[in-house]
Amino acid sequence: MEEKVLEFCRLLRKYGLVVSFSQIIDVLKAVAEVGFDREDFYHALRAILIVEQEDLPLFDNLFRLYFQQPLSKYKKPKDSKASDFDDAGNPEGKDIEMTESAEGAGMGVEGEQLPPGSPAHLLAKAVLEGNYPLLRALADMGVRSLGRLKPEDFKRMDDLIEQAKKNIGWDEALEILFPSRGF
Amino acid sequence: MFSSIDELQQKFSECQYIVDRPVATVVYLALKLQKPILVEGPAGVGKTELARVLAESTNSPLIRLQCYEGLDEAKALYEWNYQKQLLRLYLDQAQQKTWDETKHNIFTEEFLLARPLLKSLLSERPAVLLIDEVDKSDEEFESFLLEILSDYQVSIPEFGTVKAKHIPVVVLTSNNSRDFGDALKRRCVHLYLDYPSYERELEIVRLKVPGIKEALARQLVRFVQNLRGQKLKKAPSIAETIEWAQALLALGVDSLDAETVESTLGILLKYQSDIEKVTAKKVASLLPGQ
Repeated sequence: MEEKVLEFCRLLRKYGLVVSFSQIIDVLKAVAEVGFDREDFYHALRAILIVEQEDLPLFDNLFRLYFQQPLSKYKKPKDSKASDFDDAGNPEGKDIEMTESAEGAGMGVEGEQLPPGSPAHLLAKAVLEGNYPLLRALADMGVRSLGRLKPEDFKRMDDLIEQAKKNIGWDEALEILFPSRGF
Repeated sequence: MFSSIDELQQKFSECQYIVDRPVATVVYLALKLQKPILVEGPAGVGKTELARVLAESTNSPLIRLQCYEGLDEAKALYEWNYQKQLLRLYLDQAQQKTWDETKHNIFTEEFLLARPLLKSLLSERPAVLLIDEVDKSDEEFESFLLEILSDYQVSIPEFGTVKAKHIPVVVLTSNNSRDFGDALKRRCVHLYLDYPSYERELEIVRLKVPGIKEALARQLVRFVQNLRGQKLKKAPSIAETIEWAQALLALGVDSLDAETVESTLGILLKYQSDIEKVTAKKVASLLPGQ
């Protein structure tokens, strides 16, 4: 887990936050003290890494994205219900194994072949079936389709979300699901 | 000092200072990692109080340095007691001592006036060093503060190097009036103290103003919380809420009405322009249950 923390610090640097070497050491020491319990962990990282209040929104977004979306590294226990929601309101479900993919490259899905068809069709299908893993995979694809993001980009979060939605054929999917909605 | 975050919260509340877990976590880490704490936030929210409670709960002396523009080493770190040294020189001259002997005499601890920063290094017990309103000082001060906070030692010409007997717990407070040096900021663990929530503020009032009726306490806290939502030059701080509660108790008020609020508004709001903004109509709309 320490590696994840280090990776997270690298991620922050990538998005323009200055993180000094001694701060990274301090973060590791702090995590050794408070553990990975969500609340304490968040506040520890925040207290050490955030030096300017204006960096907080970026930190929060990256923290949420990095630590809250469990992908292949965290497998859910088999007995969890398919329609549980975790604390943050993210749908949990049976996680599917997802092979690690490079940025922007295609995503292989083991155990469930991605059916042919445009993203919009997939999206509509996923909604109809209540297929949360597929929904999440599509959302992930949408985010990756935005390419490399810079810290300034996070300020226009709404635009980014619109773009991601467009890239996975959101409106088309809506049209498939609810024809003649008059959009 | 504290073996867990819970223990810290517990000990703090025994000293009548209630903190949320996030705040306790940060203070706990600062202690464990031996890093200074930089506490920021609006005025009157309890930043200075935090240092005081930290000292009290750990049975440590509190050494306080109030910053201001132009604060220099002489006032912050040390100064030689020139008058005493001069007197000594006269004495030595009378006794016909050599310069070497004299020099040996006058540059000793007896003639050294230790100011807060040096005091904290010399302290026999680990101290809490409060550097209040560090944003009021200037860059020069900041740079030698940074030096001290790096090594916890100072070099005094003619005297020697003074190493800290015990590394002090350092609390710096700032009202954000000046953006200060990156290096200093990165050395610290950051705490942002904000106005409390309704429940938290109610707890504080109950604690600090024992004897106040629950119904009145709820009303007044709700009013202050509402008041903070208004565009004011200076929103009421926790200190002002407590003062107001004490005043209402002293006045024998049972329940808040618009008239009482208007006549005591000066306790909550310190700027005339703010008082004028909160007209009678406003007061009525901000009072709970209206």
